[in-house]
Amino acid sequence: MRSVDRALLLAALLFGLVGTAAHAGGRRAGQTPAPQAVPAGGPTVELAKLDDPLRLEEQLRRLLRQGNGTLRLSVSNGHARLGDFAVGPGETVPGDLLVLKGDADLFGRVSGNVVTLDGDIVLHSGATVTGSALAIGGRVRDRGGVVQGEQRSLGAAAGAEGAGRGPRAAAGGPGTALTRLAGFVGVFLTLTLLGFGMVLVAQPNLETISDTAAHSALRSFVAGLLAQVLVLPTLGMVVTGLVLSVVGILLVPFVAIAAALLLFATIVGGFLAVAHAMGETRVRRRMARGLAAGSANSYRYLLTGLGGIAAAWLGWILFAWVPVAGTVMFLAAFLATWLLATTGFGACLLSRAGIKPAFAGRYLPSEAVTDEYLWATPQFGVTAARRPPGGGPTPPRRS
Amino acid sequence: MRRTRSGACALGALTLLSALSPSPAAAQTLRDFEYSRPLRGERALRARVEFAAGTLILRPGPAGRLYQLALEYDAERFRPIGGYDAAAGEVRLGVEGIGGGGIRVDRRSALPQTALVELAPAVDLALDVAIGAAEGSLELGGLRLAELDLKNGASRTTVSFSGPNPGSCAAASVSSGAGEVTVTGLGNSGCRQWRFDGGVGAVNIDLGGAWPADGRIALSMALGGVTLRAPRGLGLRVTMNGFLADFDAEGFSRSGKTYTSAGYEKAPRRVEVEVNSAMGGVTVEWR
Repeated sequence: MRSVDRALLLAALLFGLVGTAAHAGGRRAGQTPAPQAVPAGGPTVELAKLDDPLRLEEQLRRLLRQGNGTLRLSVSNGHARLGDFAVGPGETVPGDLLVLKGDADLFGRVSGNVVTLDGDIVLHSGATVTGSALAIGGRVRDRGGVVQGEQRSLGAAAGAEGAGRGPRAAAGGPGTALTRLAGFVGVFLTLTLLGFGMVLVAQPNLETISDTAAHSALRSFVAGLLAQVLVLPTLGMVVTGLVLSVVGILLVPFVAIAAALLLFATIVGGFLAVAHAMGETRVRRRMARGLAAGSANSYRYLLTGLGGIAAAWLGWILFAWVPVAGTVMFLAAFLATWLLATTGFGACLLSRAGIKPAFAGRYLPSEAVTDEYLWATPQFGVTAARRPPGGGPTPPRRS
Repeated sequence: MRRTRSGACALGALTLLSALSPSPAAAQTLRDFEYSRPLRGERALRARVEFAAGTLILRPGPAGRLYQLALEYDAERFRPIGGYDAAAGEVRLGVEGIGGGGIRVDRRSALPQTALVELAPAVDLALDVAIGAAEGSLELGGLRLAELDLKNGASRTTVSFSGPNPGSCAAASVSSGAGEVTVTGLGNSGCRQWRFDGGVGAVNIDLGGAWPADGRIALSMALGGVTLRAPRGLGLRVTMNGFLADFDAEGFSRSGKTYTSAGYEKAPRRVEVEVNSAMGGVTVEWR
C-alpha cells in the first residue's frame, strides 16, 4: 500500500477514534462519581461573583477535563466536593460551596454561595443559603429552604455532548461544521451562477473590470477603500437633499432601493471580476509552463478563481473547531475576501462598470490589434514593443 | 493497488462525512436559564430587558420576588443576560447575541427562544425594554410603573394595561421600527405623557382605562399608520403636523390643524394628541 493510502487510512481511523471518544465523554458526563472532597491545591476557583455562569461553567469543565482522575482545585473562601453532597440539619458550612457532578442536598446552613456543576441544588425545609445559589447543568429545587441572594440555574445543554463540553464547545461541533459547509456550498454556487450569467450577458464588461483589477490592483484597492468610506455619507447626503427639497421626499424609497441594488451589483460584479482575474492568471501561467489547462475561457477563469477563494473558507470550515488556529483561519479567509472584494469594488468604479478600460492596461483599442500587428509584435519570451510616448498610434512594423 | 487506493479514499470520505454529520446532541442547542431574586425591602427597581429574537412575555410576578427570568435560549447564537446592581437598584434580563453559529441555511435552525420575565408589583418600576425580531407580550397592569421606554425593532409587540397603575408614571415612550405595536388600556397606565416614534410599521392605541388625569400623546410617524381606539365620552383633540399626513376626521370639528371631538370641553377626561407625520395616516375609531 502506498504512503498516501496509509495516511488516508490513518486519518480515517483518527477521525473515528475522536468521534467515539467524544460520544463516550458525553455518556460519562451523566455518571455521578463517589462522594469525596476535592483536594486543595491546583487552580483556584472564585465563587464570590456568579454574574457570568457561562464563563464559570467553561472554567469548571476545563478543570474537570484536565484533572481527569486526579482533580485538585481550591475554592477561595470555600470548599469543593465531587459527587453528591448533603448539609445536614443543624450543620453549617462556612464559606462558599462548590459541588461537582452531584447534587447539593441542603438541610442546614451555608454561609456563602452554593454552586453545583451537573447537579441540582435541593433546598429542603430549614435550609438557608446566605449568599446566592447557582446550578449549572441542573436546577435549584425549592422544598422550603431560603436563598437570601439570587438564584440562577443554567440547564444542561441539549444532549450529552453539550453537557459534557459546554455550549460553546457544542456550538463548534460537527453539526455546526455541516451547517457552515452547506452555507458555504450555497454561497459558492450562487456566486458561480452569477458569474456565469455575467460572462453570458456582459463578458466585455467583466473582462474590462478583471483587467483593471489585474493591471491596477493597488489603485483599484485604494479606490475601493475610499468608496467604502464614502458610500454611506454620500447616500445620506442624497437622501437628506431629497428630503429637504420636499418634493423629492417621494423619491427617497426608490433612491434607497436603487442605491442598495447598485451597491450590491458593484460589489458582487467586482468580486467576480477579481476571481476572473485570479483564474486567468493561474490558467495562463500553467499554459506558459506547457501544462495541460484545458480550454482557456472566462468560465474556466471564474471557476478557478472562485475555487481559490473557496479553498480559504473551506479550510476554516473544516478546522474551525481547533482553538486559536480556527480563529486565525477565519480571520485570514475574511481578510483575503475583503481585500479581493475591495479591489473588485474599486476596479468596478475605476472602469465605470467595465465601460472605460482606462486602467485596464490596454494600450491599443481592440480593433487596432490586427493580425498584422500581432505578427509584428513579439508575444512570449521577448520584451514586447513599448507603448510610444504620448499614447500614439500603432507602432510601425519592424523591417 | 488501484482498488486499494480507491477503497482508502472511500473510507476516508465516509469517515469525514460521519464526523461532519449532525449528531443528535449537536442538532438542538436550546438551553434553560432561570434567574431570580427575592424581594428584601427594595422600594424601586430599574429593569432593563433585552430580547433579540423569539417570544417575550413580561408580567407582574409573585409578591415575594423582586424579579424572575425563565429563559429558553439558543445556546449557539445567544447568551443569557442576568445581573443585578444592588447599589443602582438595576437589573438586566434577557439574551444577547454572541455573534457565532455560522450561516443559517434553513428555518429549522432558528430555534424558538422564549423568555418569561416577572417583576415585583410592589416596587416603583422604571422599565426599559428593547425587543429585536420577536413577538412581545407585555402585561403591565398592576405594576407600579414609574417610567416606560419600549424600543421595538421588527417585532410584533402588545403592551396591555389590564388594571390601573397603583403608582405614578411621569412619562412613557415607545419607538417602533418596522414592527407593529399595540397598546391596550392606555388610560390605566397612569402616565401623564406618552410618546410614540414610529417608522414604517403600524401603531394601534386603545385609549380605554381609568384615566387618573388628562393625558397627552405625541405621535411621530414616518410612513406608518396609527389607529386610535377611543371610548365614547373621552375628549379627544388631535393636532396634525405633517406633510401628506392623512387624518380620518369623522366626528371631529376642525380649526386649522386641530381637530376636536364632540363634547370635548365637557368630557370628564381629555386627551391631547399631537401628530407629526410625513406620510402616515391616523384613524380614530370610537367604541
